[in-house]
Amino acid sequence: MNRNSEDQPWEDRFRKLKKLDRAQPRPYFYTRLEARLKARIEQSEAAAVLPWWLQKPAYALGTLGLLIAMNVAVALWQNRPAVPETDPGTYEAFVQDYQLNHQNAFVDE
Amino acid sequence: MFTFNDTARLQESELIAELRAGRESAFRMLVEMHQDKVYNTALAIVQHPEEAEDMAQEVFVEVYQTIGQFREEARLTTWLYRITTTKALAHLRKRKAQKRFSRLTSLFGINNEVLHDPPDFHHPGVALEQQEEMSTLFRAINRLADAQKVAFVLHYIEDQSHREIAEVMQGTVSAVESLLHRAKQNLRKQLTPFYQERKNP
Repeated sequence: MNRNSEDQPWEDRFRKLKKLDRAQPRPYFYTRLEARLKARIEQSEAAAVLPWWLQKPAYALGTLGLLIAMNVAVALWQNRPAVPETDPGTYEAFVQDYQLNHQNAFVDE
Repeated sequence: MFTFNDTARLQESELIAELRAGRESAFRMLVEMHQDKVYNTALAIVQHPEEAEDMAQEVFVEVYQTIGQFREEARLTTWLYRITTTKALAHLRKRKAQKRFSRLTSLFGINNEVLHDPPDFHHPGVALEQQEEMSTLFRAINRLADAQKVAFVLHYIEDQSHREIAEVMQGTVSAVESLLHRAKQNLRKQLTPFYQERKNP
């Protein structure tokens, strides 16, 4: 059997595809397309109003997260418990400055 | 003297000018003229009617948005086929990635729902007595490599010449011939058992 006679049946099988009836999209294709196009235009108009970094949800969420984290940090810093400072004029401050303790301070008396 | 092709081209450039001017009637005309080609090409590649319609709509949305960038070096039909095949192949890749991801997540028990291959595709234009054969043929086409699939679909379903396919795929005629040859060899390999079984049931 030569090559052409071997190829021909396959070519005939593939050519059946050319004879298929053309498929049609569902009715009102254009109406649905118009609605999609309108939504897409509105979406791009809304996007044009926002800055570029807010147009992408990942950037917007990241920015929001960063703002919340900064607010929490500031709130914690503002409300930290105050460290009691010793008044330099008191007896306690004098003992602390000269690294004395109560036992040593009066040992020579 | 103008030939038929020149006249068609003249009409096409008028249509493009109207589209660029944002005329709604021109867009409607474009859709009515080409929706059949776009839908059938997408259907042959994605092999799912709803997804093919979604592809076809996306093609026309892209045409509407980018008509200003269309250089009239190629014919409008060539440009439409190029957008359609690119979108359809991208859709197939996305579908494959989703399937792979769902399989992976199901292994870790995150999501137990595994995406399965869509059921056998039955082209709506196939006569009842040919349904089994055509369904097997479409399944085999689906397994071809991307470029082979595009060349085969454009030639055997859209009846495009080798030169037209080369323009769509932005390659040479000999590259298209080679793609078609390899596509046919691969299909023969896949389909031989089916036709043998049919011959000797």
